[in-house]
Amino acid sequence: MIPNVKMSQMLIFGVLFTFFMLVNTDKTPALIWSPNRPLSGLSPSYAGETIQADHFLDNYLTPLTTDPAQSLIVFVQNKLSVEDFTKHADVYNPNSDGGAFRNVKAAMDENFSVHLPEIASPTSAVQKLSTSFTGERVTVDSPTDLENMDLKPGTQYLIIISLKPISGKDEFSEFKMNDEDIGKCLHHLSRRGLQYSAVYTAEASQVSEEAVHSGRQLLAAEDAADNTTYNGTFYNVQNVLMYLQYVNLTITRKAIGAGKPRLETYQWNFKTPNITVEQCNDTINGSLDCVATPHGDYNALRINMTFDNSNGTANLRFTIKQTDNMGSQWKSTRGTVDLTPSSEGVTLTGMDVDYNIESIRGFCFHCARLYTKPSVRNFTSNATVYPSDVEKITLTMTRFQIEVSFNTSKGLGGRDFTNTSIPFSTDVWECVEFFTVPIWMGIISTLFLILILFYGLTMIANITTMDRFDDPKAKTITVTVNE
Amino acid sequence: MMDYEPRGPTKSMGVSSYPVYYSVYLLATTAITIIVGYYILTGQGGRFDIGWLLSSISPYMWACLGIGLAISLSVVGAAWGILTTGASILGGGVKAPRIKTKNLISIIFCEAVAIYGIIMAIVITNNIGSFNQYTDSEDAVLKSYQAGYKMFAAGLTVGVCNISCGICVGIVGSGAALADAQNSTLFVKILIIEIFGSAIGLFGVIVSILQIAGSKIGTD
Repeated sequence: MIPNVKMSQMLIFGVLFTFFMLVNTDKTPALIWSPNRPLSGLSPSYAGETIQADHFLDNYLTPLTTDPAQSLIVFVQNKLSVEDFTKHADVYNPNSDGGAFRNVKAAMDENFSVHLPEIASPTSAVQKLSTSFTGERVTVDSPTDLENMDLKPGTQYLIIISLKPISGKDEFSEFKMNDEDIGKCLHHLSRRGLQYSAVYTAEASQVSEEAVHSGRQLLAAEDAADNTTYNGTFYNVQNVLMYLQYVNLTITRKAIGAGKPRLETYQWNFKTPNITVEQCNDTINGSLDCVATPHGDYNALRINMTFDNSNGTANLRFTIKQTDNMGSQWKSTRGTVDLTPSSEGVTLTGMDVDYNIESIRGFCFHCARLYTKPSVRNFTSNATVYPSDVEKITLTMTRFQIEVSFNTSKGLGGRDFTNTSIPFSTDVWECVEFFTVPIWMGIISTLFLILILFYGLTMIANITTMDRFDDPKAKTITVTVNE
Repeated sequence: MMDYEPRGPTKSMGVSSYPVYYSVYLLATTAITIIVGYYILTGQGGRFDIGWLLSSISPYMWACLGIGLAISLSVVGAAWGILTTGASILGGGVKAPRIKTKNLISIIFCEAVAIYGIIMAIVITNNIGSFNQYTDSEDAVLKSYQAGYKMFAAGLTVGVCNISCGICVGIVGSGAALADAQNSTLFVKILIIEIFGSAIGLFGVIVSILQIAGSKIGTD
């Protein structure tokens, strides 16, 4: 324990540090260098200053592209942070050659260079630049692609090179490999006689858990341009109000041999799904009797949503039933998920999912992240993937809100959704309780121990001197002590 | 319990602590009333769901609570018994030293209660394995939850039985020691009372073994 530092100060410092570390995942450094163009015109960054993406675009990237003979090369990684440099660039050795970043250090030392320690989402600035760039745009995945390309000196190019993603298993060698790729690219460009400025940056300073892809996912994601502004879409489909931002389906395969488990992730947004709602009646023997045309007399709703994008098609189906005859509470029953990938991958047919959607009359159901774990026990396999190869499958619905109502025709309450512009009810049934089960488990265990403690303290507090046989008027007892 | 019944102090000293108790009680009651009132009056009374809590708590928590209760309550019972008996033996042994060897039997009866507790704790621990809620068969998952409840019950059974057995044997042993100090012919008959007292601890162990027979968390 550090002396002279109070416990409360340490606690506040710890909380603030964690908060800033969590908030900082999107801020990465950028290194800019150029062998022929002086960079003193670019303003240096102040200590602790975070450069916003627009500022980065206007003050750093755009000035590098004003000269029509000067190309711009951007090396983009999935993860880069100042800590990576500290750990892997051999910074405590005065004669170091840069550790894993040998070529980058040489480039920064020998050429005109600028370093910017903190930029908020630099890749969005790069994307904006690439949409407004007037010269030739080239996007490559590896230095060998660059070598095979025909680059004419004198033409202005914007070359975006996606380096291999850093997955965290052996960061030093991964950074070293990317650094060697950078070195090869720079060597190739200088051999061609191209005049260029280079930028080395990344998407984020930490890898998010499920985002280790290989290949061209970094800048070529669908809807990448409006990722920052898409907040979800609202639909009123046949008296069911729904709002959703994204649906993510993640399939984790078991590690095969010594390789790490492979992930397949799919993400669909809710902009143009195909939603059908059928009004059903729950018959006595448990089967659903559904009609496509709305007739107003129903006690269950079958909802079918189909999402489609270039990676694959998903079909989510679930039924919402009222749990009693008055429509005062409704729940979703076990539904299914189908997945058809457009290229190779796992095909799921009729996989059972418990969506855990429930609410009561007059309330809408909302979940910021609705996690469901489809049962891995049954899905159809294509030739290469079997159910025993899959460790888990997770279906996540981000920012999901739904409201249905039953028995409006019988006048028993519930809201009337025939007006298509009616908003959600202001009362919300959240999917996450205020105290979750782990919190309660902790409270129960702690309470039990505290009860024991209090019982012990009560016993100690009730210690009294034995004064039953004390008589102040009698002779005091003398005890002879034999040494 | 005899020694710890809270009597008022014989001399009144310092400030009375009743205002503190009263204000804490008032604050707690107001807070609970406001929170409960909010939930009921906004129609969310169904949120207070004890069934959900009891069925969602992991079976490991139930099992481990059972094990903890088995050993800790048994040890509390044994300790209390030995405390009571030992104090009397030591007190009586000052004037009648002949009682000290014979009355160690009472201590041994109390100690047996602690041994029952640790045996049950180890037996219950051996049945804890690992299960995966999402990939194991439904039957295995249900059996694991069932085993969690059974282990909690077994631990609680043996713990509560042993704590009462230990206290009982302790008080009887204390009386036996002092009676023996007065009149040495009394001791042998008093031992029968202690044997009956010890048998009830054994009943707890038997029932607890029946409760966890064959139950296992996990499939290995």
